[in-house]
Amino acid sequence: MSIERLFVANRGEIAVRIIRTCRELGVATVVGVSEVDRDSLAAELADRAVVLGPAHASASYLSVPTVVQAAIGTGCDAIHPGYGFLAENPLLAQAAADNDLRFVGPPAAVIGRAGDKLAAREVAVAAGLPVVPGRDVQSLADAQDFAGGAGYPVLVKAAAGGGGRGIKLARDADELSAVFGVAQAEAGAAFGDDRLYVERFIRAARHVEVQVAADDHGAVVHLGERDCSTQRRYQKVIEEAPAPALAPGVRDALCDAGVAFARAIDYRNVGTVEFVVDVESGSFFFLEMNCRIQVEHPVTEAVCGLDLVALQLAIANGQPLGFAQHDVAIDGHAVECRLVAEDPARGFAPSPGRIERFHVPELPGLRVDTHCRPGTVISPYYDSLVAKLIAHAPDRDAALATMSRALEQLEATGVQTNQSLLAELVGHERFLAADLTTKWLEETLA
Amino acid sequence: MSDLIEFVDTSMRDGNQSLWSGTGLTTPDVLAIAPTVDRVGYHALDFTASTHLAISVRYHREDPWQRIRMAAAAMPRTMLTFLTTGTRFISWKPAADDLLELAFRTAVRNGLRRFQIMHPSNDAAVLVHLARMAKRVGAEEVVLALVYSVSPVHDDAYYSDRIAVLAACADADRLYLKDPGGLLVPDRATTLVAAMCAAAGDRPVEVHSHCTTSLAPLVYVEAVRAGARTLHTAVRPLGSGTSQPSAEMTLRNVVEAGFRHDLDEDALAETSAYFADLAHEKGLPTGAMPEYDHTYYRHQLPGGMASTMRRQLEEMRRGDLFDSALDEVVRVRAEVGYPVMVTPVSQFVATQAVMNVLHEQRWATVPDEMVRFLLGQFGAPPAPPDPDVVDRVLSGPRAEELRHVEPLSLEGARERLGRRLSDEELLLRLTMPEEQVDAMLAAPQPEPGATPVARPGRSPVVRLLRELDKRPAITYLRLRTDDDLVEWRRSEAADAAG
Repeated sequence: MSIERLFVANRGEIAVRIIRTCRELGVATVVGVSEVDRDSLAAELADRAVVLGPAHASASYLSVPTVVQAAIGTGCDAIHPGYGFLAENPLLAQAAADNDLRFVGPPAAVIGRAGDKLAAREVAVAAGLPVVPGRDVQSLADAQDFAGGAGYPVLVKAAAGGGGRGIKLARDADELSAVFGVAQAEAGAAFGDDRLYVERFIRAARHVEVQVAADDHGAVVHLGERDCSTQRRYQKVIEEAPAPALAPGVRDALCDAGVAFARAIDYRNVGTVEFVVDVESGSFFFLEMNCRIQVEHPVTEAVCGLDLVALQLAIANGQPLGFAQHDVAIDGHAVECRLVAEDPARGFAPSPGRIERFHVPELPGLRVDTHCRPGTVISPYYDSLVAKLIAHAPDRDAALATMSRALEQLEATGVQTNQSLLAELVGHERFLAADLTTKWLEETLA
Repeated sequence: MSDLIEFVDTSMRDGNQSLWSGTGLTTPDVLAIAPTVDRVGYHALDFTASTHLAISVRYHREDPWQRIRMAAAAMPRTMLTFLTTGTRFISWKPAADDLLELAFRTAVRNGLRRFQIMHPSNDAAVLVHLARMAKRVGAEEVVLALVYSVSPVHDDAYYSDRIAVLAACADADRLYLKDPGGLLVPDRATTLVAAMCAAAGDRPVEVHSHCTTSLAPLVYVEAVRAGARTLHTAVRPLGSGTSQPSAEMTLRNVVEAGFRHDLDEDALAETSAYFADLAHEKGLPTGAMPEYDHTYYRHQLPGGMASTMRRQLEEMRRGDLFDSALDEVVRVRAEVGYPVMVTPVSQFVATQAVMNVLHEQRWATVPDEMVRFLLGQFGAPPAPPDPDVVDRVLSGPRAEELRHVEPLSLEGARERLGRRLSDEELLLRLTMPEEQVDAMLAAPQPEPGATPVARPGRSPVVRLLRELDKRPAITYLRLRTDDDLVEWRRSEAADAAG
């Protein structure tokens, strides 16, 4: 039986996005909202909205038992987790399965494996994917031995750590011996475990990711790749598809690697395999897999002519993909800008508040995904995404021209946004020339 | 006249200030409950004042403007109020108009929609001037205060003169009777509120009192009977004591008196439970109704100050002087022109009184703050000070040194402090010690999504388990209520580890 009533366990634009597709498909929706999101657009568009709890996500959007209970209590037969919050928490996928609810995403075991960095890396190596050279080291001599083989510069980090804490850069053997002891002491102090991990540092990198889709019947395809190199503090700002300026052969190799990884980890539903591309050598390395719909999925939808949320629901229903790899054609170029309520003039401080005027231009090839309208309050409790602008055109230049016009004509007042920064970036000579690395935005802002 | 009574919730500003010295709440504490507060349906929140901005920087190292922005976005239905006092902003030095206007404008831009404007000496010209300024920068609602006090100069004529000027101010949307000392008695409230209502015409009149003498709950009932339609209350854990009457009891009282309200009592109860939990988690006191102390009407020293004075005298082995020091407070207050006995002036008067009883000669030693007060740097007192005292204090060399105080202004400020500073940072740098602002800016700012100290709506069982966890001496608990049975045993491993 296919999904009849879907519980949307998310908020903001992605909740609206999911509900819109459900309306087209005739699937009823229930959205779980926090106390502050009672009057949100998602709550209004869904067939029903239930309050999960207080504003703090830990007591509402992040509470697995609450979400599952709300889904059962409102007679839903499936849960869509969107992105962020519980999307990649295997406990939700498992709790859904335990309660006979379909989970619109991969099974808990796959999420668990993909989320364990070391396990995912092992899967990648076994599947023949290149990974950034690196390993646990026992001593300084061991680290120098590794760096001698893999080449400098190297990053030294806590083996038990995460989130970028205490990562140190060593450009040569002298620097490595200088930072090693400090890194060891810091790792011990921060994580109670002084084991270190050393990996090759890629000076100029691009973030390129492959969209994959896999059904329950063994079919795995890719839907092309996206470049998400324009980032600030690991937050993506602009994304595009296809990735510009990739060396010949790299695109196909990347996409094949994405499919190979998805197959190796027994992936189901739509997902994204992330890679880092070394600009200097052109070689690429597996980074991680995201077991969810991505924020930037619309650029892929634009160039592939697919509705990825509809595809997610079909896969969750147990239907076959219904198309093969050779049916996937990439049409033109798409670029997405994330409009956020942050004030670039004040160090990108969040600028929550009530949106006064909000007008998105109507331009051919422009799509705007948003949960905002005049009077919407950008809440201080969650991310500050106001809208995603997606421009699609026959080629990159035309797509960027549409985006420039859109950013010029867009009106969003009442909160500070990064609108003018986006306009500046889209017209920046480095961006126009596709001379991108994951550091280019921060270098430009500095 | 409508029988609907509106409420201004003071929990986060005056409740916090009266019971928790203003230091009780951090930004995450406010954000944890803000959406629920927003549902209660208050006319407005008494949210912040320049003292609170300073405490946020100095004590919590939190960006006070960020707190305002976050809170305003978290409570979009409820106006947040900025309480401003005379021509001061954070610093005790007077602020020039340009600085004050920038402070007002910045307050509005960050989300403070309502201004309560007061002057300790009820200087009507200053109030009217500031009301204009607040309107000019975009304040949605301006409320002018009539500050209540008890002294020979605070008579009917004094109040009626000032009420007339305030009511004539076109920029005042409302008037409020502000009783910082909690001195109002029901009869006085009746006559003053009636006079204010008559003068204010269609504009609502609000009442803001304190439970210092325990009379405020009754004063509120008489005030609504006399025509007041908005009362300032705090949620129960942050009410009573030297704070405002509790919203919970005030609601019952006004309904009993034949009026109605449209607050969401469920949301109010949830808010109250949250602040009770927070007080418990942080070890902060909750308000209890004080005993009626008739001597308070004589010296008017806020409760904490009288006991501090006794303790200080005892530490100097001069506890025997306490009664004469209290008498001296009365005398000094008269000599300096019957100022309203609120912070900081009450401290100046009390300190001077102690000096006067400790030394052979009265007014032999005068702290700088009192010199500055007599120089008029805290505004003119309600009555002219005693000329003999003024002569004595202001003829000294110290007075000469302190006499010339340049008001804080924006002139040259940007050149001095940096052209690219935001207005928010500029205002703090102009009015606070540099190292405090630096330390605040260097400190990591709280994440709005961070787990709060107390969580609204936490289930009683979870709370019970948490409390048990804190008490290693308890190893076993069995609790039966009706059909429910909770059995809890501390594991041996935890025992060994503990």
